Amino acid sequence: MDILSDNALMLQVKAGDLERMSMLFERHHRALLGFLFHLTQRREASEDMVQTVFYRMLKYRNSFTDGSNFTGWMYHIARNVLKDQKFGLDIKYHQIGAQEEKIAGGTLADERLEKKQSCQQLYDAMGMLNEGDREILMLNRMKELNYPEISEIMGISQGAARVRVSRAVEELKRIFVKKGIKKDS
Amino acid sequence: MIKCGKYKERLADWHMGRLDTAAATELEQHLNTCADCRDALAATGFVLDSINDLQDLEPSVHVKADFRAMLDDFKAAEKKKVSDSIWSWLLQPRLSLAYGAVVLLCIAGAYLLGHNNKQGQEVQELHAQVHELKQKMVLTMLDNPLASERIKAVSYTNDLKKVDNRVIDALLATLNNDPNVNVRLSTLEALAALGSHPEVRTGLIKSITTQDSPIIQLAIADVMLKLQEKRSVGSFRELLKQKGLDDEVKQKVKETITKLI
Amino acid sequence: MKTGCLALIALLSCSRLVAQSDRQLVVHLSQPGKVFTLNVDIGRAAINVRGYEGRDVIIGVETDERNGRESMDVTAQEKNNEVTVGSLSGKAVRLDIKVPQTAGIFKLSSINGGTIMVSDVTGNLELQNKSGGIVAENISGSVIAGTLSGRVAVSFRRVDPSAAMAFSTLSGAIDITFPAGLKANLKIKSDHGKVFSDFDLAGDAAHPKAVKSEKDGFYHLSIDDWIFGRVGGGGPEFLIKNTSGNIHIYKTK
Repeated sequence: MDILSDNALMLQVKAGDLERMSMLFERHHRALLGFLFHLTQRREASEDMVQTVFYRMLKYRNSFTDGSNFTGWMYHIARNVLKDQKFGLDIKYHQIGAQEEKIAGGTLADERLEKKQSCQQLYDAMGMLNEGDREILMLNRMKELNYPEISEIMGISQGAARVRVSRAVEELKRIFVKKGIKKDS
Repeated sequence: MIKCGKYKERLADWHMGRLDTAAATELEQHLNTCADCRDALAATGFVLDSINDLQDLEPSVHVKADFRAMLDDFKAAEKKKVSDSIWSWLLQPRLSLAYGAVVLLCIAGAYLLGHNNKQGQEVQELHAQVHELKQKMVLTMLDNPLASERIKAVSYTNDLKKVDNRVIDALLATLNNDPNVNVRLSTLEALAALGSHPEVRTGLIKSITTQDSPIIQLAIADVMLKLQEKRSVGSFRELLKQKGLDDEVKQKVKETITKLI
Repeated sequence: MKTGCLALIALLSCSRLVAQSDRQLVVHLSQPGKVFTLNVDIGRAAINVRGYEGRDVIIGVETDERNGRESMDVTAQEKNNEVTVGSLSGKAVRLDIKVPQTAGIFKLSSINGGTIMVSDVTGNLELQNKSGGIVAENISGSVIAGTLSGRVAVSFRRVDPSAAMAFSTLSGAIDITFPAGLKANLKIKSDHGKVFSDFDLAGDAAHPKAVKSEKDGFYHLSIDDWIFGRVGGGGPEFLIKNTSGNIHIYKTK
């Protein structure tokens, strides 16, 4: 079976085979949604933004060149879409409601509840970071993005990207200590 | 202890496996001797792992369908661009075509446009969703830092079949606040084309006394005349009282008032 | 501060750089080769920007020598490839700025200092003047130019195929030269002047075709409204407007 790389697929879209975008959607929309949601805590807006990102990739397909990196390009667009949103990146602390998760029941439920609580703690901690730190940690979290892509997306040098990631981690560490978030065995 | 600064900066990279062999070895050797850095590493690892463990959302059911609708509509729009240029060629008054050729082209055009036709209501819903997306595009683009993009956004409003209040408000806000004269000028023209909406007329009338660029002032006078908007006379009289008003503008405004009354 | 310090400061965030006895400010970009932005917003400035082969932005400043002292109060800041040039006092100044020929975003604005001139650059130009002309030559990209009194003269080496543009002045001629392959929707209006175009302006479903007079070769408005013209099958919208003065749209031979 012929499995095409992301870059190859996008080049096909650029060449006119628009249907190929649905394959890219299959592969990436979940991670993209996660990225947007972790930064905004808004489900509906994040889902809208996913559509916007794919729309922009279709619209500006001509600016995707042979040397570009698809994931880097996609997250770059995602970041622009985020910036365009009027509500900014202030995290609203809504509780992750029951509708967000499908609780299976029994001990599994307890596990899930614990995870839900620790997730909330982490969101709270992240909420205390400044916007730039939060963004760069989320970009850093994406496995497909390394310093070359991150530096391109943020518009800074690779050296600066390294330094920022390390500083953001330090800052989050301090917040963890403040909030008493510790590793449990 | 000064050295530790350099090592501490690399802990995150080491945890993610991004250090090259030489740097990694150097760091590991240091860690063997430095308890402080070992603690720091543990804390860094914990932070990074917590972030990694964040669960991604399960997308809502409609996300996939929305994408499918957007993609289908996008494809149709691309095809329409081709048929559009055929239509405009057809409509040039100088060209006279044999009746048969015209009919043939009409059929071809209708086929291309109707190609993606599905069940009635489904189509309407999908179109509504995409229309909504287009409007959101316009609203987003109106905030772009590049004047060229903002002007493009304004020109897109001409393509929207119907324009809701959000877009009208955004256009009026752009007319009154955009720092670039040319953006305001093209916004004014776009609003003129939407003159059938009462909110547009009211908004334009309010704008008369707030614009300070003579180019815009002249253009508003033209637009009010074109729209035959008599209610603008009051604001124009106010404008004439303003100090430092350009002579050209004064003259045009006086003429416009005369023609409107 | 000497140039060495300028380089260091360029890497930190937002700092003011004030030129002293040098008549030139050399600004290093954080990321040379990547898209840069040049912002100049000075009340009384004649601005001249030229593309050159280097990687820095070099700002040459001339003030009125008759003042006796070299009153250098022009400042430049650089942050993440965005260069902002300002002036502390309101004195008239002449800026001669050299920029890399790689893609840039140019936002140049002046009120009462003279002409704004840009040449041999690539990118997105936003030029605003009040009493002075605007000249942009050999541009690859897009231009949005507006002034209140003065001529607008723009010539393109290459046009960004998807960018909307606009050219406006109150009293002054507008002369624009586009490459032959132009694809755009032109929207032209001159209240008292004449409109002349090398390109054929095609009409479309919504707009009647502009009528070209056989006698003098100029386009005439049949009604007191805009002339619409689709060039090369159509493309982004270019708005071209003045009140008095002729409008010429030339095609590069």
